[in-house]
Amino acid sequence: MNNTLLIAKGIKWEKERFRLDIDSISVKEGEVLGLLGPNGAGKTTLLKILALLLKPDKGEIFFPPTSRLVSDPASLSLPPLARLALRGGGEAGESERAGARFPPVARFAPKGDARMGDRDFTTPAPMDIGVRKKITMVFSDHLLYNTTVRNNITVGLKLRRETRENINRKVEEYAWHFRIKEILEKKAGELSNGEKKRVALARAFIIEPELLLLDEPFSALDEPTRESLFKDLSRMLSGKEKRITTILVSQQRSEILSLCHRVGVIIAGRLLQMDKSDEVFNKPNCQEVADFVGMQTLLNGRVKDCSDGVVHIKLTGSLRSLQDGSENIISAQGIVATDSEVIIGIRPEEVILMKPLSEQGQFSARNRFIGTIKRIIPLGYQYKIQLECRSPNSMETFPLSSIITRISLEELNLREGNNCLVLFKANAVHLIQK
Amino acid sequence: MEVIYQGLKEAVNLILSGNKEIWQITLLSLLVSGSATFISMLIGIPLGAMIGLGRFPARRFVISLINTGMAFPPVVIGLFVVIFLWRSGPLGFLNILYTPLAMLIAQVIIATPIVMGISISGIQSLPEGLKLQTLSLGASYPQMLWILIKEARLVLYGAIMAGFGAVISEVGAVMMTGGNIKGQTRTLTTAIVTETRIGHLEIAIALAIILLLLTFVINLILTHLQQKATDYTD
Repeated sequence: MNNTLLIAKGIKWEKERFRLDIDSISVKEGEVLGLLGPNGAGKTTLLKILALLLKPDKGEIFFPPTSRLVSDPASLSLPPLARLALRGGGEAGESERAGARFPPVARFAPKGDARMGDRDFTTPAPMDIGVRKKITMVFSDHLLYNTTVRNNITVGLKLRRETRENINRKVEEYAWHFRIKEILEKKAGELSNGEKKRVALARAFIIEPELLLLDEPFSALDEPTRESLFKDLSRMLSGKEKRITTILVSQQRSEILSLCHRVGVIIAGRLLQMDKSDEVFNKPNCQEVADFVGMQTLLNGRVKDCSDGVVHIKLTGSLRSLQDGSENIISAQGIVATDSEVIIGIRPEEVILMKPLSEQGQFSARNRFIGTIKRIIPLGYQYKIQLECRSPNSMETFPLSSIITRISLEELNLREGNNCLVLFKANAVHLIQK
Repeated sequence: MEVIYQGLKEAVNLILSGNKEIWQITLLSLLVSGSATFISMLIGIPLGAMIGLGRFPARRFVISLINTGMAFPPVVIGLFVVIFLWRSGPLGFLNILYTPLAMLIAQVIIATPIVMGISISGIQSLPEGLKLQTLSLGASYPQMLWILIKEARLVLYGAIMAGFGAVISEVGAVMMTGGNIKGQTRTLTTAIVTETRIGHLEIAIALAIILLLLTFVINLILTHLQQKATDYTD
């Protein structure tokens, strides 16, 4: 998983009021990279750009000479602009015909210009069919052709002029992987949503591309269908059979967390954080990311003091003041300069609720507050409890969310309007420096 | 009624007797209109698909021009072709006025915007994203065009039928460019006009029946192909 397959830099794309602005993104061979973000964040647009289907207004896409996407390293020594300047503007197909009327977008960098590590990334992104054939994108709409499943999944192979024996062998293999053997002779129009998704995925996997781009593979599916497809896809992506470098776009945190090695969070057209999945989920680097990865409680605070790796933060702003009183202090782990402004993120799963006046001896949680239950929201087996919390000696409250099981809810006999004890550990508090 | 009855009788007689002139007229009509439809298909479908899928300045203007072309009166087209092919016209040196070739040119000009206009709508009615999905499966631009044309085949067969219908039934352009010369450029439609004008209503009716039958058979074949094409294998 060491070789870099592709690097995109300074990608800018603008249309109407939407703007995509990605400083840098890279994919390593064999990895599954997740792109997470809300609707309309620009994830699909970025995928299209990486798939060389859409020209960015500006930016460069590099392939290292070792990249499997480049089949002919000798072609890399072509003079700059010789190939790429000929392409540009609009979508790949048009740009191929457009000739030199458009300015170059995926520019060539001078040799040695874009170094990364010890590798020389002087290779530009040729928008030509040779590279495009090694990248396959699956759109969130299944977009099947109006013919049989067999004809659908063999389109890519026929375009690559594979032999009939090869095609038949691969159809067998991938129809088995995606459990579509029984429906091979059915027409696309007769399939259920789940089957259509399976066919669309099989149609891409069967090509065995060097880079696979999956846009919301689980969208618009009911839960059981989604789960069974998830199982099959995660088996395919985990590489026990064949490992294909993949970029997976989703709005669902759980999918990304369990399928991807690294995750990028895109919000409003910008890639705000890119890191290992655990890091992004547990240590978001800004409020937007924290919010999106499920830190449901985000509070403003100022560091009061910091000693022995424990930070005490006084909550500021967005507090509901009942009356001037003493302050609410939250303890966290870390080393932060006194008086610096921070955002405090707390996952609802980390917040423990107890009956008031109960024995707390067994809990080592540094943070203890009195909570008043504002709302109880059922989430299937779990419940989300929205609270207003305060220190025992404070008259100011702050909002906090907790997630508990149905059994806990019944045992604690929680009702809206009741009070309870709220506990969370200092290491459950995530600090984002402003 | 008597006239119609006589006409029917005459038609059956003419068809069964294998009248050489009738067959020649029918064959010429079929040849000129069939070739014109075929050429307009070769031009109109790929170009229509490219315009339907393309994003370029003045695209809407171009499409509205083509749509206007669909409703162009054949006589007007005939007039322009005559002006161009006239001995002193820009293409007069070709010396093809009043030949089947001149008729063919006029009919291609009539049928192409029809085939193209319907092709544009057909391609545009495909799901958005199918073009990019096809490119992403590894198709070159011409391959993508071909796959999408196959995908829109139902409408495209309709386009061919409309194009053929327009040229086989028009009289103005062939009359002007072919000159309705007996044995050379006389077609079913021009013959009907001539025979009616000189009072041979029975012959005119017979020719009309042949024209209707011909159109019906051609459309029957095309419809059969169209319906068969609801599934394609390649």
